[in-house]
Amino acid sequence: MKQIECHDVCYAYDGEPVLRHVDLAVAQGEAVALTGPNGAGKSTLLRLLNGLIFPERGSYFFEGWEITKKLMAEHKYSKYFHQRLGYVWQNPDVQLFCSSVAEELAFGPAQMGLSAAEIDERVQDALELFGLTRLRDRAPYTLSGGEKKKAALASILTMNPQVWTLDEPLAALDEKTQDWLVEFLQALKAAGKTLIFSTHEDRLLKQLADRQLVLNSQHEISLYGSES
Amino acid sequence: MNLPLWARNEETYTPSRDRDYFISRSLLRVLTVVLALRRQGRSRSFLTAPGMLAFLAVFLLLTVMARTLTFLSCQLALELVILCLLPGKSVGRILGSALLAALFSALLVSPALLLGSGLQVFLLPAKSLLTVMAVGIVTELLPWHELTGALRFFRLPQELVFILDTTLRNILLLGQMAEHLLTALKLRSVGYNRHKARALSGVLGVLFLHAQHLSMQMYEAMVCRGFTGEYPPMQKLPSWGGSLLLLFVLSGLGLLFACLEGGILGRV
Repeated sequence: MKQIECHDVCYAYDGEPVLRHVDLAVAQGEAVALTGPNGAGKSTLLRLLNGLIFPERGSYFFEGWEITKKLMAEHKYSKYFHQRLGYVWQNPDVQLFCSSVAEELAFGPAQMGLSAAEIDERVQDALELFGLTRLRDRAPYTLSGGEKKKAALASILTMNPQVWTLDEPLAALDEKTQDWLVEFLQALKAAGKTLIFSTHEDRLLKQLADRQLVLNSQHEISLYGSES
Repeated sequence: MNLPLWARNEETYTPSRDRDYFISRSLLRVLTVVLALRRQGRSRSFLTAPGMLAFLAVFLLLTVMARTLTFLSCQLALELVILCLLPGKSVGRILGSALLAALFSALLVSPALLLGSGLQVFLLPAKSLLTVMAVGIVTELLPWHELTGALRFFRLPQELVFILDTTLRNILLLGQMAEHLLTALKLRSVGYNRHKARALSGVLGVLFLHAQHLSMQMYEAMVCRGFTGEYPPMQKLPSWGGSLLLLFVLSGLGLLFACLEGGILGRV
């Protein structure tokens, strides 16, 4: 059994098809790149994998559970699911809602009911790893683009999800931050985390992806790398 | 790069029972507003915005002045004919809000029925129904950007048009941002949260800051594209076909009003 499986998934916005007959299987620890032209359905597929929308046809399984509206309405399962699967948005502005960076990083672990000492440890580790220690009391809104991206990634890291879904992780970042981010994603992969990311960047395909999945302008998968 | 030990291990997490209707409800409300605004893209060139606004104003005036259910029934018939030409989803939306308004009015005036006021009691709910339906139909047919253009046609102050214009644009942009922020909050709310209201106030705070930033950026972008604080009046003249049709229907309504409410006009 694969960690993530999609069978013949179709989805449409207002009758306009966005995903057509998508078949996908991702094993634990794999790094899969979603590529394709703008509007091909990459972000929609990521939203679907995160249980924010549901297939209109076909089925999506996460660790053997079929993700349906009914299942996600069960609060206990949906909370478990969202802890297992982290989502990093393309625009970090829409992901940061706390009054300081430290609070932002502590939000997830506090939700999970970790002790104060554990939360503090995770926040401190993440701040150091991302080079955000000097910004810990700053409001996320006042950070630069690269710093916001790091804060958004750190806020997911402190929840320690097993699967990371990232929408255009390198978008709007300078060369140095991109290098750093690729290295961070490689470290996640080395730790056995599953990575699914949409990208237009060749370097992510070369340095990180085990497989490339191309969504064409017809919203179908036109190239599907060999499964590991 | 070395990840901390806890990040290299697999998390074993069992969530406690907690409901997050609070966040879901907020998310649903925002989505409803954003969806309503997103729908505002279609333009009906046959009926122009100034013509429709003028028609709406006179239609509502006649509704307010009417004193008999007969004339109001005629207005209802006209609205139902227009509704028949709209898509099913729009009809459901308009009728839903109109019936709700009528029901609320009926509840308010119901004590008067017990006091023996007769059928006259139903005037207020009927007028509420007609008014909300008329506004709903115009909203469905008239995109927001045409509304601001039409206001300039009626020579309304530039400041008012600017405020309305930027507000409508920002509502859509901020609505989308609120939708994303609330979704992000929901995704990370994976446990028992006793401070949901606090987390939501964070979302509102971020939105407020973005609203300020956004309006400043929008104004600067408008200035860079030659905006000097003036909205030129609409150059496009209303199409004759559509305007004549509206005028024809309005004349018919006026005639009906004179015939059916003649007694009232005589007293005035």
